[in-house]
Amino acid sequence: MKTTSPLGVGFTWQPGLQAALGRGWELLDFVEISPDVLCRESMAGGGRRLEYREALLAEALRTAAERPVVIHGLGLSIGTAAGWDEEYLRILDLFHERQPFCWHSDHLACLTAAPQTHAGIPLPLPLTDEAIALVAPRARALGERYGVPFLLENITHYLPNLPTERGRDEIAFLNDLTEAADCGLLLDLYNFHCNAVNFGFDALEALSRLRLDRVIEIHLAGGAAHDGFLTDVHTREVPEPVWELLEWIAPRAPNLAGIVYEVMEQAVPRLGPARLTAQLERVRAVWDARAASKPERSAHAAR
Amino acid sequence: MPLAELQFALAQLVSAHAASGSMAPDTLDELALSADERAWLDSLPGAPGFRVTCDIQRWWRETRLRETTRLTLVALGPQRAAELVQAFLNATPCTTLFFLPEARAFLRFAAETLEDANLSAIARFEHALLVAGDAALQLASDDPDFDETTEIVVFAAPPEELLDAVLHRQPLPAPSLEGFPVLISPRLPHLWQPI
Repeated sequence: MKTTSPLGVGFTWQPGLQAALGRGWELLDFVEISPDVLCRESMAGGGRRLEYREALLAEALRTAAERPVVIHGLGLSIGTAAGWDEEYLRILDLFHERQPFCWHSDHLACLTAAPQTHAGIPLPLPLTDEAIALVAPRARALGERYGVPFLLENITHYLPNLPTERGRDEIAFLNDLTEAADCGLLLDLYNFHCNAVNFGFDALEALSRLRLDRVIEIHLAGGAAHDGFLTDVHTREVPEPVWELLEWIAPRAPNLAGIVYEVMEQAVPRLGPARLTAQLERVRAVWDARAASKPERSAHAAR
Repeated sequence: MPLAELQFALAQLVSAHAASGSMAPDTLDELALSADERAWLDSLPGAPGFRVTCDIQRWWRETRLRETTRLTLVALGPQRAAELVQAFLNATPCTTLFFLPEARAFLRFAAETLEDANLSAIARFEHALLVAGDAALQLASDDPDFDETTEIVVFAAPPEELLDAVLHRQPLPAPSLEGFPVLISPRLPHLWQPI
């Protein structure tokens, strides 16, 4: 598996990020960019096309001149058996020509089941050999395509009794898949917490069975409940149970290279720079405690 | 490709229930699904988590519309706006995660659905503004497509008076038989002007 030098603490890139974070900006070692949000979608010649919005791309590249960049895609739909989104890969290729990135990741999900059949929400994959056989070569190919680690991200979902084989649960599926793909894992601890609460399993016990050497990046977020389910919206501060999971896993994941606090662009003004900075300070404390116990140090951890 | 069939069936199920709340019983008949897969799919509509999945899809779509079609939604007022958004979501399957295509589809739907001449014109106007604004941001002014986005929308009341009423949440002026044409173009400083 490709690994990478540790970066440290990151945040979701969005227009005006530096001003929005205030003092929190100085706590960031890197930013995580989703190429999709820099694009417009149009139908040209009967086909769907993505194009960069030049002003947004230019702003993102200016940020990249100040901080290292990792990529987190939204629309690849790597788990779609009928084919992933070639347009997304085309825009990622274009981005890569302009700006190298340290690693990239995407959601382990099916978003578009077929042309014109858009789920509108990432759907989970069945925990089967066939799903692993589909995704593993794709993940491996993405690692080779850009020469940097490719990470799969665990998603929140709400569907009971997913089809499974070999008695796999989510953890066993992630272990088997990352092993078959020889790729990394972007462990979204908030997503994992949501699934644990929604499906009633012990998150810490489950994490103790995860291949921690596969964890390259961690996502943190906070969301809202709907009809008794915790949902994956990045609108709030990180809940305490997720901090507890982070504090458990951070010193145990040997290849962990970054922790990103994800916040929706629309929620940033409501949270405000003081609350966002407080969250980032807490991430920084976890990262520094981890880094202090290891020989590798992040680029900005020395301050 | 059994996985492809299962994913197609699941996406169809989510899409149908997120819209009208049900799916035609024979929709999945032709798919190569195992008995276990069919049983699982059959069980989903009764599961609270499936309902949440559908709700989230609608919620994201509503969020995109509330961010991008404010003029029309304000003109409609909260009650009618909510009803029209729900009618759109029921009638139109999700095809994108992007804001602008969703907004354009909704505004076309609004323009065709609304019987009030003022409201219909506002929906057409906002649609044209989105298109022209997108072109102004995205296209060079010598691009052959640049001027393709220019449009004339005919209002049923003086446009300044109508828009002022919308922005101040005042009753809209009565539609008149006289037409009040407005030019919308990426070449204009504010994208539009009465003509």
